[in-house]
Amino acid sequence: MSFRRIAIVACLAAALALAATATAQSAFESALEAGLAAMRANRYRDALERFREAVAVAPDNVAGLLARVRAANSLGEFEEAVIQARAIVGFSPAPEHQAWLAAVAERAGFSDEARAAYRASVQGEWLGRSDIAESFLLFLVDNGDYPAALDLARAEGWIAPERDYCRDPIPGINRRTGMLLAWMIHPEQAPCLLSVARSLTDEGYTRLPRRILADLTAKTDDQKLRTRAAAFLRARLPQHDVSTAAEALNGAGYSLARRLQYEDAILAYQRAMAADPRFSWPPSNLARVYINRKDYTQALDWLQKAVALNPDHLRAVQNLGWTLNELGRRDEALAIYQRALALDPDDAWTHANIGWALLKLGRESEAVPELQTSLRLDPSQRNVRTFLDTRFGSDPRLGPTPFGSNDR
Amino acid sequence: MTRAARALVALLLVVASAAPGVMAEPDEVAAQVERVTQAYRDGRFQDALVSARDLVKQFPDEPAPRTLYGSIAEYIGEFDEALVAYAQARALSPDRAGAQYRMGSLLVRLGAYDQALTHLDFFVTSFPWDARWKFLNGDAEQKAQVVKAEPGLEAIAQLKVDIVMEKGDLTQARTLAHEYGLVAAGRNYCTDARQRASRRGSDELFKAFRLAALATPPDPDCVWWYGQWLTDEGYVRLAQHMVSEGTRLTTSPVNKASGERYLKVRLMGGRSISKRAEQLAIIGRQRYLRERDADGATHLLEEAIRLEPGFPRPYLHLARIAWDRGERTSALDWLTRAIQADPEHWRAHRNLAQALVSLGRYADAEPRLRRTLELFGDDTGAQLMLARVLYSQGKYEEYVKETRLALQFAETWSRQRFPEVREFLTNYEAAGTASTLPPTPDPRVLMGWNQD
Repeated sequence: MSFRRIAIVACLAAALALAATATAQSAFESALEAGLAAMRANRYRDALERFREAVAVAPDNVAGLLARVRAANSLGEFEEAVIQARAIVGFSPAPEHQAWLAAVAERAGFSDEARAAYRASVQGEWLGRSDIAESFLLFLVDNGDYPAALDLARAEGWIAPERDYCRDPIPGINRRTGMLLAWMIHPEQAPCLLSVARSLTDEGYTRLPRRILADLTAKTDDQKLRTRAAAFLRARLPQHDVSTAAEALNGAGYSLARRLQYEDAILAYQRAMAADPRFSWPPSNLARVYINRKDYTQALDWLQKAVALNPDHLRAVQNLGWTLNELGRRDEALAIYQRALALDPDDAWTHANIGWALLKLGRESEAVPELQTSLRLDPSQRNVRTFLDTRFGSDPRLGPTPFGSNDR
Repeated sequence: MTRAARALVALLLVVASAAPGVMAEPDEVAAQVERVTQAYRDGRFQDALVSARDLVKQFPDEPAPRTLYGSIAEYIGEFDEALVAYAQARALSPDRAGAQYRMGSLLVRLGAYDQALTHLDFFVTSFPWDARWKFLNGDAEQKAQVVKAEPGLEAIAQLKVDIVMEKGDLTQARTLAHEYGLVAAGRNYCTDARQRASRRGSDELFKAFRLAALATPPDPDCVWWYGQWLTDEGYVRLAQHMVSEGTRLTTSPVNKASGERYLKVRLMGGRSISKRAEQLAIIGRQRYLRERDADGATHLLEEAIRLEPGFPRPYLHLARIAWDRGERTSALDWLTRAIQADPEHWRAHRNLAQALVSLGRYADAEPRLRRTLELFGDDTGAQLMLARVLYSQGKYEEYVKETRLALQFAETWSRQRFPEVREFLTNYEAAGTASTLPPTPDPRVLMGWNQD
């Protein structure tokens, strides 16, 4: 072969290689773009498919891997998320990548890996470090590793002598993180623990608020606080320690449902139920998906399952009452609402819904006191206030003369 | 939220953010005032009051927290606290309009009308000079123009008209309403109010009848209806003026007699009561009705009784609270005291009778019901209750008579037909006595006979 011919073949080969790379690059970018657009529209399943395609084309591209971690995490596909996060850390062990690995490993139940990744993440200096330090503390506390949590708090400069951690905010960190320290440092003088437990419960935690409230009821001298903590423990939290996987999957389902991704939410709740069949939150939350779709028959089925698992699950009992009411079974609904009241006599939502159900039954004289009580317990309920304004006229307290109160 | 409330909130924020030469950063004060104002807007009144007290301690040299504290205290009926707070706010910043306006409002609640007008005039000085001049010194056209253009000035104009009406000078109130352009000459507001009365909500009804009462020449019926609306809402003093005026204006002897009777059985015969007691009764009732705040309401209602022992409404509201709490004896006691306060108060007799019927004390209820019907013969609900009471005591002929009268009245004057009452009567006449007692539906009576 002449030199000229060899040169031509070499040039052609190089051109082909360049074209192949450009094609791959283009395929990656279009898959990534399509996935990101789907993420922005909360279509996580679609996004995950696109990101898988992107990663298949460019397996060492950190942007593609990270996007896949996020999508998988949103869908409760935690193991897939962990595998991708590990790959990222393998290429680039930056603290923010360690933070991603920590977060998804925690949800997947890989505690040792999560701990190591958190530790690696807080060792570097970077923009989101402070938030991750707080997440690490929460992780350690949730896992019962109080000495390590205190060491972390000390290293972060969050500990100060004589500080009342319930009362005094710690500069630069979240109030709740500070209040968690109250539990470890002065648990016998920590009235804020009820609100900490309430906030954690509202975020989907179960084991940690259970432990906090059990400790609070055992240690506080405040009888009223003890009673409220015990009532919350009974009505708002499971009666057993829920597995990490079930807790995380339930959280993913809740988040998906809030973004109207009902099919994926249902899938996540079903996996949560499989992970912990005694956990009453997933069937109760699944019922809420059907309530949102106005499919009250399906909702009733799941709520009955939830209440059978835990008859003291206040939200499930309340939603059961709501569903029966929507199905026109108002007397049954009222009986169920009475059960909800027994679980928490000071729940404004229950009082309001008893009021609305009584109104639909034409029992206005009984409905009005329930709505009034509801408004007293939670004055921010605008629909109740509006009803009472219509019922009783404008609020004459607003002005000293009739005109001042009735000029809407 | 009403225009007035919105104006107040805006005003308070302006006052907070513009305060010069103070120790705290204005933005910080404004932010804190906004936070407490938000609690107030959300209806978290007790929280708002406590937070406002704390704000006053935190920023003792700032007028805005004191004005806010005063307005929340005023809203929940703690007038003395409000008075002190406004006075301190004015002492800290004598030129600030917010505290002047609030002080004016509070003085109306306390019945100090002339002082209130002075404060409102001061408030007017916070407007641009041309608006201010037109409002105070312009001709009728200029006044009307500026009132239309400036919502704040319209609020002042409306409040001034109300104050003059409360002072009993209805001629002057009509002149002012005309000058400010609130009513137009030649328009028949009364016809307008009557035509759409049945289709309106309470606010709309109020506005229509108020304008009719302010129109020239006034229509006696509309003036009277406005008085009855005010009676239901608890504005006893203004209601007395309106019903007296309607009665004075009417040329019909029958209507004159009705007006006089209404004044007697609903408005304590026109006997004047303290404005403060009236306001405490209104606010106490609302605290119970809207927030179920029985303790807060009780405290205000007891204060109203202390100020005005002859004013029956606070007793009636306290009876209601006691009854809802299941304290039957206490409820009966409050009702008895209401009758002692005003032996000719129709509602006091009726409520006591109704309570006795609910307790099955039919023999005790009978004389109360007879007295109720003596005071207001068109009370179908009371007549049906009397029929039940008579039946329960074996006075069947009288039962039949009272039931027939009630049904006849309803047939003539009401849309309600009471089929269950009719059916019970028919069965009785066909088959004799039954094991149950006759039904006693309690129909809503006309405007002016409710809400107490």
